[in-house]
Amino acid sequence: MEPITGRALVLAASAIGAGLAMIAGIGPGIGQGYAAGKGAEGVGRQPEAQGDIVRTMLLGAAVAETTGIYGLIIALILLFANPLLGLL
Amino acid sequence: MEATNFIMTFLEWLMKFDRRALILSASAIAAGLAMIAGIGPGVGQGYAAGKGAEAVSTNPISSKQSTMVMLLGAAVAETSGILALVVALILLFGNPLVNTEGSALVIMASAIGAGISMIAGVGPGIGQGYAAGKGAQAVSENPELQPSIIRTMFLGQAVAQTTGIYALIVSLVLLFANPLLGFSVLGGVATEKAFILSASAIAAGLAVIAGIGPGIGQGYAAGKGAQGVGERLNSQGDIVRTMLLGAAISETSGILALVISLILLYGNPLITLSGNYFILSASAIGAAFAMIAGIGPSIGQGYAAGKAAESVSINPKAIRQSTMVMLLGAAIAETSTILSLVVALILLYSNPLVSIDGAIIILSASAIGAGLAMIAGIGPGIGQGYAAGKGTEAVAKRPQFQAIIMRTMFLGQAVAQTTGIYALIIALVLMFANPLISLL
Repeated sequence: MEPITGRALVLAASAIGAGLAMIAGIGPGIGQGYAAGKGAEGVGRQPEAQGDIVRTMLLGAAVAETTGIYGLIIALILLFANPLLGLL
Repeated sequence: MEATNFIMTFLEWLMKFDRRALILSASAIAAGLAMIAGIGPGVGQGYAAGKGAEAVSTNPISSKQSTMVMLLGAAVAETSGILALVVALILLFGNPLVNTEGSALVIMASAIGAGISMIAGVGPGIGQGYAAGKGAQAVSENPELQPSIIRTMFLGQAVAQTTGIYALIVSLVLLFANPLLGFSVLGGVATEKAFILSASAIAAGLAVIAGIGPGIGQGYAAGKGAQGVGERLNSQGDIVRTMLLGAAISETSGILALVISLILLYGNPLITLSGNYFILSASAIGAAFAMIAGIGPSIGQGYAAGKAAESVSINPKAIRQSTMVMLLGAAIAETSTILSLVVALILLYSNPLVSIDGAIIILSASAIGAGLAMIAGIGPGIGQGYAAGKGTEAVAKRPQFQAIIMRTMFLGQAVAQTTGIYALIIALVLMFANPLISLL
């Protein structure tokens, strides 16, 4: 049996870390869905304000997206530009 | 052959112990894991208690009736806690695994899997408790409708129990009729096949945890159904039908997770697949992790089902439109489960990682990482289901604006899917275009 090198260990941990980071996507998913629901409710109540309602919904959803993108960025860094290997 | 030696070292250390001691230790951990299910009844019955107290304060005259409904509903919500307790007591006092023939490693893993699967009981406990609370509230407002409200509540609660029963079945199969022990595992401590079988036993338990979702979602639908019946008794048939229709959709994610669990138990493709046993074992775990995403869609779809039942009581004439919006919205909410199922099936049936020439530990970790990433699907599922529910409600109130309500709902749901897609991309990169392999 060959021993596992420290580099292999870091890379393996990075694969799991990348997966774990993506779990952050739960938040934006719930939040944006809530916004979508409230948007649909609002359009039903005030159809003439559809434009404004949808704009506000999308604006809020864009803000809610941020943490999901942070998670994605960390996953992409772990996969494609792993800084940990340089620290070995 | 390169091996993941820290795990092998651990296993070799483990296998120095007496076989009975190993199985008993695993059983102790499993008994503890099973009891986690108690979270569900605790939360649910607490909600019911709160709603009961609220109902009594709003309508002191009907306090007897509402308290009784609260207690009846809470008794049903106890089921999952009792089932978990039974499994734990079996492990402690009537452990069938101690005298079972077969690989000690597989038996240990089966005990752990049997414990983990019972965690699914969190869902039915919460959901049934919600229904109990809503039932108590509805009865306090309309005490004369008590029989119809209770009937609807019980019906919905019974449906919400199903995924808890699936988990119980998987647990009992692992304990009493374990198909994984039927394979001949010759040789030393942890042979390659025993390793895959052990991972599959744990994964079979992990996958059915997805049952938390349908339990919560269907319980919500049951509560809204009971409430709707209380508000508009003459639409009882339509309300109950809509509730059950939505609950059936919410069940799908639980069923798909059960299917993956049963595949791992009865038709495990990993055992016959040629490839490194360590990567194959990790793939079983990864596939189970991916299926846990089903918690999201099923909670969301259950919410939509509840809102649809409520919508029928608000506007019985618009039942066709509100049901259609509920079904379309719930279909979109299913996306995350389907994406997870695809990732799980890839890991089980056409695993690209076993044919890659690279470090075993990185490839194995990538299989687990791909599954973990898919758990993100919980979010889009819940969110899209919420949107479906709110869209349904809005259409029931103002059916003439169905087109623009649905447009807004779809638009918002599409945005809510994004993080699920990010997760899918990371999972696919890990499986098909893994950049980590070449970095070694």
